[in-house]
Amino acid sequence: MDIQKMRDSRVLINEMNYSIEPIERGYANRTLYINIGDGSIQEKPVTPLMKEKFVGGKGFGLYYLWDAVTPETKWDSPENEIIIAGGPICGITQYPGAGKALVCTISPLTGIPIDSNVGGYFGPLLKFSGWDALELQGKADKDVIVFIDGNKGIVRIEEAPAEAVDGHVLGEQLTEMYADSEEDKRNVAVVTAGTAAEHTHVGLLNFTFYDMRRQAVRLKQAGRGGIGSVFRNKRIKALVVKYQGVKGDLNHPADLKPIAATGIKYHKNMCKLDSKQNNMRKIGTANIIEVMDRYDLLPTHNFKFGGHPDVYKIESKVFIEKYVTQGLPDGCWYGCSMACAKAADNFELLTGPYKGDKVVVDGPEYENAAGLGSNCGIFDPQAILELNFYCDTYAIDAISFGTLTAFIMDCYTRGIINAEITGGLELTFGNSLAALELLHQMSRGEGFGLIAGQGVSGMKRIFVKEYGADPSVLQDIGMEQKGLEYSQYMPKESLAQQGGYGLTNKGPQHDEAWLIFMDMVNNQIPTFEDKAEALHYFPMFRTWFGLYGLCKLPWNDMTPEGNKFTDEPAKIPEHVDNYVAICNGVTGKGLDKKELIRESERVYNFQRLFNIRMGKGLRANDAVPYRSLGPVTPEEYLSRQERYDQQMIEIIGISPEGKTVEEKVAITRKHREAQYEKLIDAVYARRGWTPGGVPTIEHLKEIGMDLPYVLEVAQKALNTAE
Amino acid sequence: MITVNGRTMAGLEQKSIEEVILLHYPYAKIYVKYNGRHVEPEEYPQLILAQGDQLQVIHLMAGG
Repeated sequence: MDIQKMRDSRVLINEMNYSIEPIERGYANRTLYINIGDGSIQEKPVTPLMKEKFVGGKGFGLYYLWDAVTPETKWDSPENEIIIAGGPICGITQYPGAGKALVCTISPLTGIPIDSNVGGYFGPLLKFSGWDALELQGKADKDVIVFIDGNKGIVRIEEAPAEAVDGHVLGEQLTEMYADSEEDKRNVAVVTAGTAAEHTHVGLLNFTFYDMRRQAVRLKQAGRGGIGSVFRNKRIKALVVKYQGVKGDLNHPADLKPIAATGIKYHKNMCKLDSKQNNMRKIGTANIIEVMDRYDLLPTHNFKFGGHPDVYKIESKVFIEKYVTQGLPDGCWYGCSMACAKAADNFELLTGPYKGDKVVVDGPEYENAAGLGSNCGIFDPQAILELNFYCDTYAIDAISFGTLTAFIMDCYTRGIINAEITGGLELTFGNSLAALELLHQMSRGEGFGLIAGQGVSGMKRIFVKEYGADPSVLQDIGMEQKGLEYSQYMPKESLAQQGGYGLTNKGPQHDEAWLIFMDMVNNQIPTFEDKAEALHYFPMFRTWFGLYGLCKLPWNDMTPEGNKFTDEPAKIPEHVDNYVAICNGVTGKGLDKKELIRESERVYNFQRLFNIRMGKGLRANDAVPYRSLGPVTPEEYLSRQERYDQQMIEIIGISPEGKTVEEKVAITRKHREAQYEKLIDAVYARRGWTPGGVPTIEHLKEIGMDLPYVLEVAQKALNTAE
Repeated sequence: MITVNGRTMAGLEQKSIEEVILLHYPYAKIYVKYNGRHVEPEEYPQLILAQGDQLQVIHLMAGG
């Protein structure tokens, strides 16, 4: 790693000095705009309107993105922006999960805004450096790095030809370059993409933090939607922020006492209860692999099935005992007692350009174990970790890679594609070496990897046009919606989760609503009205985390004692009270639980109208692939025959006696598709939208999202519907 | 008829709540209501299900 050679090859494009101002009640009160195309750098004020209507985080991202683009803007248009913003609570150290940033752009997969939530240190250090958001617009001719020195007040854009592109190498290079010492490395945070992001639509961004105990750079991801592809398309190689002097009151909160008191209470509960609940401190989100299998909810073989006899090979205790290092502080921001960012140390890679290297693998998260594992029929923990590593360093969204590879394997098994089309890759379920080679091809920009990198929606088009595939079959089994691949949960048996995926703004990512157990197992939301209420409250509540710079996991991955005696235990009321207390402690705004939801409603409806403006926000765009609703094939029906036959009698009112499997599949399908449409009707009504999916003018005024340019889009859509 | 989470479930008569949980509900983060009353884990072995009983086994599964 010749750091001096890299420094010597840098060419300065532009530099701006700025004054260091204190943060006030969670806001730096200005944002940083950089045009990578013309090299301009400027400061913009955060206005009272921005704070009132958009709050911060994803709100600021969408606000700036709306201004930047037109309805004709594509993901690779120069005017598309990437905006990174933390939010007013981002950076506190007293409560867990307070280091998040949100990243927004027009997605290569969907053509509408994507928002992606990410940990690591970049978000907080950006704010402490004096910026509530960073806007990146334009396209450079050559690879550039943007550096922000938050102590000296410098923003610098430089051509950077010599550094690597892959995340784990570049993260290490830049941390080494900008840190004054080993101790200082924790004050440097880097954003990278990777080589595969240059050749695919499913690229992600890596956000680093330096792990002092491991003496290694760790990677967290803004995974969904192809933001890394936009990053590399703009020829941005990396962003670096450096800030020395992190401490607990840098947000200059209105009142630190309730923030500290709330945090202490939470930490005590975490220490006492986590080992009896989800074991987040031991294994992180992967704790649910075996649970999902036992409840027939683990996506298996392209979401066909909910479990597999070989899941024991990849259950969480295997990773705990053999791979993931225990007992190290694994929080991705200071003060996180949930500390769920697990890693496998000294993991030797068996394939690819880094074969033989012993690396730190950040993971596995549940999504990786399910997506790279069971959904592809892969039950080898070594392979899962290797796929996990390469997805991260090449900057490929592991969720999308899992779902698109599962789709490819399903198509291969069905004979829709073959070895001639895949260039010899035998992409059958379980072939981990073929899956790894597909990933390496994405990095190299060659072979079938280029086709796979278009995502499921791109492959559907190609397979129909080039290989004569039946579009209706691909529509049924291709698990994407609005262009984004489904994340790794089985919605098939939960009508509420079908809506939790299908009725999102960005596409089928579960960060709006995760209702499978509440619906399917607990049966707590049996009516359409119950489901609609859940599909209003939970997306609004969860959106709030993205406005303020918070991680959702501390909300409900630990449950306080006594929660079961509350009126609405699924909401975890004590933790909601915590967030209200912390928000008011930081900002002084005196919000209550209702206003919390109202804040989210404004941004949520704004995003819906943004989608409408970009041509993809109406009822037709909320349609879903049938595999997300029910059994597509006789094989799937037969795997749950007893359940489906019983439902046919009890719910549909038809006897399955004497009927062929194909007839039963058709009867079930007709019923389930009708149920989904009824759900849409109920949810739209609850959300204040028309049956066509347009927020009404009355509703927009009621919630305070009544900006003239927003109402104009709504009115136009309402007129067109009439 | 015995219902669990609002659905009839056959074969539960004379089974303890503990047996039902072990058989059907492997997730740790649950709470149980038996005929509308919260019950603690130490009661599970002693409570035997009979016709007309209503059991709720509520999972606080958070998801990703």
